[in-house]
Amino acid sequence: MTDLALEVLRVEYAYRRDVALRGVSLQVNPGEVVAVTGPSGCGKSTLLHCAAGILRPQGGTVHLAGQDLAELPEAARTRLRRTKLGVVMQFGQLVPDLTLVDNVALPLLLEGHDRAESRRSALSWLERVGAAADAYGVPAELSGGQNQRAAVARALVTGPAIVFADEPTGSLDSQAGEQVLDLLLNSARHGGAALVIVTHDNLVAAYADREVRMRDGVIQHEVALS
Amino acid sequence: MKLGTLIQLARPRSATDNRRMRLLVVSIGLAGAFLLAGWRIKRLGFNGELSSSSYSNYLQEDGLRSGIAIATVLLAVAACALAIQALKLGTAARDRRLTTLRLAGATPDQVRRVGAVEAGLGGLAGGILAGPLYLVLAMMVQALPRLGRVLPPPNAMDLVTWPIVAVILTAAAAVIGGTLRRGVIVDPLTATPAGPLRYRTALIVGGVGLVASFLGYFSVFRSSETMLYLNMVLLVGGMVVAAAALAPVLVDQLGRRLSGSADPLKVLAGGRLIRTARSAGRTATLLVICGMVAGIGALGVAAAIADREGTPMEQVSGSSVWFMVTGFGLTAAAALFTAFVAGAALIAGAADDLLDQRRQFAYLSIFGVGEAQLRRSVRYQLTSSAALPLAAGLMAGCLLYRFYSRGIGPGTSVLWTLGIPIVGTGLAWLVAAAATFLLRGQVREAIDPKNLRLP
Amino acid sequence: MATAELVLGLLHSGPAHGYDVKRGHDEWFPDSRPLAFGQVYTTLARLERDELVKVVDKGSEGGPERTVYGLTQKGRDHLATWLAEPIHPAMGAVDEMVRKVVATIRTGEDTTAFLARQRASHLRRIRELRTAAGDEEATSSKLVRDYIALHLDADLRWLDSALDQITEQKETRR
Repeated sequence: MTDLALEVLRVEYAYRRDVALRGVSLQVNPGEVVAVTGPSGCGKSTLLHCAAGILRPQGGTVHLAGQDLAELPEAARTRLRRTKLGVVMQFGQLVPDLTLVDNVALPLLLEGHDRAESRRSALSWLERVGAAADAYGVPAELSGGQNQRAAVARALVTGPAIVFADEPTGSLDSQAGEQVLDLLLNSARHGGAALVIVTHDNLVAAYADREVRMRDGVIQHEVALS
Repeated sequence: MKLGTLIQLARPRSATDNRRMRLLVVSIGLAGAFLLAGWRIKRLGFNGELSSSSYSNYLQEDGLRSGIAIATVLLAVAACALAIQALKLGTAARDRRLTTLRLAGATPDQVRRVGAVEAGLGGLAGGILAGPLYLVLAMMVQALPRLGRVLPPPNAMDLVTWPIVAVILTAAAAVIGGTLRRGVIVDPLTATPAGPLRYRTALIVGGVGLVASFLGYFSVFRSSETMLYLNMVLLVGGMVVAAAALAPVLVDQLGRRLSGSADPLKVLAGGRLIRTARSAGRTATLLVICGMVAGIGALGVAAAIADREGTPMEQVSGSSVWFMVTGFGLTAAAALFTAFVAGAALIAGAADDLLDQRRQFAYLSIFGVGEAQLRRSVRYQLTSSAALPLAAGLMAGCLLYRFYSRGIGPGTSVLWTLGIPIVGTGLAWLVAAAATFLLRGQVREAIDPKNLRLP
Repeated sequence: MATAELVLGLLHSGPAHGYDVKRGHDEWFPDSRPLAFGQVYTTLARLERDELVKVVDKGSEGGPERTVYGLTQKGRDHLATWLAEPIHPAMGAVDEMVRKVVATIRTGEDTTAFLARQRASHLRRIRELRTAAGDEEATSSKLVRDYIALHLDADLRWLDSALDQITEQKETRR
């Protein structure tokens, strides 16, 4: 078998008449940082969604932490996503009804861990990302930067093998964005997780080990950056 | 802006808009029909007995007659509550449309006028619909055996009362539609979410409402005809105000209790209840009112069963069994109607919220809060917010009947007074579970990952 | 300054007089300082010495203005190598990148390889600049580094857009 964190093979996807991916392949090694770049509409977000098991590709396969997503039954696929995968999006991903600490604890609760233990883990992660002071606030009361920090904590709380980030700093100002990006890179490295960042921002892409550039649903080039 | 332009802007555009308008028109129509029925009964007068062979015994006794009249008013209020719920339903598309109007240069007043015209159109259509609905209701009642004819047959005056009721409903709808916050974006830049619930205000208003209705209770017995109306208004109005003020507080508390659970689905449900406390509170108010109607009816029938040996009515009717059966039938009909209205309100509110928050539900699906889990979470939310309010309403209705039934002795045992709310709670649970089932399409749409693609 | 390579590019479509080379350059870069004749002839002479161009036709009068120059194979190879080679990103060196892109458009060469390598080169440099800072160092150094990094970002965005447009044009022409 393979110990790749992620393997995407010749994946195809179309939204009704709009073809987003025309046979894209990508491999991510454990602990690697990969930037997926390209103009808007090139399919990079769709690639991310297919790799994360959010969308089911119409052609090709996706292996996450060595397991073929399509072959798993629904419950097992869900468990795999919950334990091996972390996702950070641009905005609006926290449950507005819950406090930050409950938000971060949610994946653990869904895994069946007990409430006290989940909260403890959540609090320690919030501390690590620098949002401990706002642990008992709700997303609507806090700044975008604080919410993104909590989102990073939530993505990493289950100790995933790979983290997907879709424009994680897109809705933040440059200073907050730099801090969140720093945080994301360090936390992923600390936990040994691979990181795939989808971005159109060169300043974000510069931090990756490898750049995969897309255009019109295909990969235009791949270059090593370090 | 000319009226023609306003109407053009106010017309429903999408499928969801149409559904919302349809709900509005139907609920206003029902409210109008019940108001017409109550007015018809009022024209019989509330004093003295009627010994007609064409009226039900429920109408002949003046005590019971005013009870039926109150019941029709309560049913009308229930239908109005559903109408307000329909008005407050926003759809993302409609909100965007109104924001666009603002950005295109419409003043806040002009946007409010669009909202008023939209509601007014619904009110007009509903008011017109009220006439035929009242006729259908009256004819259905007339088709029942004599005991069941709790409505006098319609007469020529109804042709006069119908347009009056229609105009009142249109005006009321327009006024309410023009003053609602939701969906009438006054300033897109400062559209702030409604602040936290003001507990103190709610408790004070609720207290005032309860005091007013107690005043009404106790004055009803020793009042002249004109004061009687005032006291009935105090009685009914006080309860409605109390229910409307206290319901959001109740829902908020229920939400907090759920949030403390270890089950993450309950935590999510609790959080959602807290966030939607105002809207869920409206549904809860509706359920309290529905409960009151059902409670009065149910306990009244129980009392009649218990005391059938000594009542003067037995001599008049000749067959107490039929009397009871009619009572049961009417109560069952009222209970079914209220269950239907409550279910509709629950579904409408929950569907609206699912639509509004769909991007966030799609994210949750990444963690494995799949369709089945979300359905369960919605069920926790709905059963929790339906059972207690309905039980409270039933209890209030039973107590109301106990104080009110001066003529009929203390045969109404405590057992009935407790049993009815318990049965009602079970009913509420069933209604909520059924509502969850009907919402499965919306749940599926909400967690669809395609929602992540929204800007 | 890569003037020599530019001249090679200007001769890509066929042999030409020195005068045509100067006129071509000014057409390619209408907003820059016009190329001086002296510089053209000096460059051509040097290129001939390096065997990157050859004299195709000596004019009847024999003066430099009448000589027609053309690319040798070695010259073509040298041009192709230059076009594919990314620049090292530094302040002031970017002019060369702009010249490369213009030359690429005009000569119709393929852009993919160049784009990949230039992006890598720029991104590496940006990362170096941004991760170089220590906490104790002077704000001014950090500011200068930020300035350079932001400008490199701007250059890269221009490059992406330019090459996008080239690709689109090629596709519509096909």
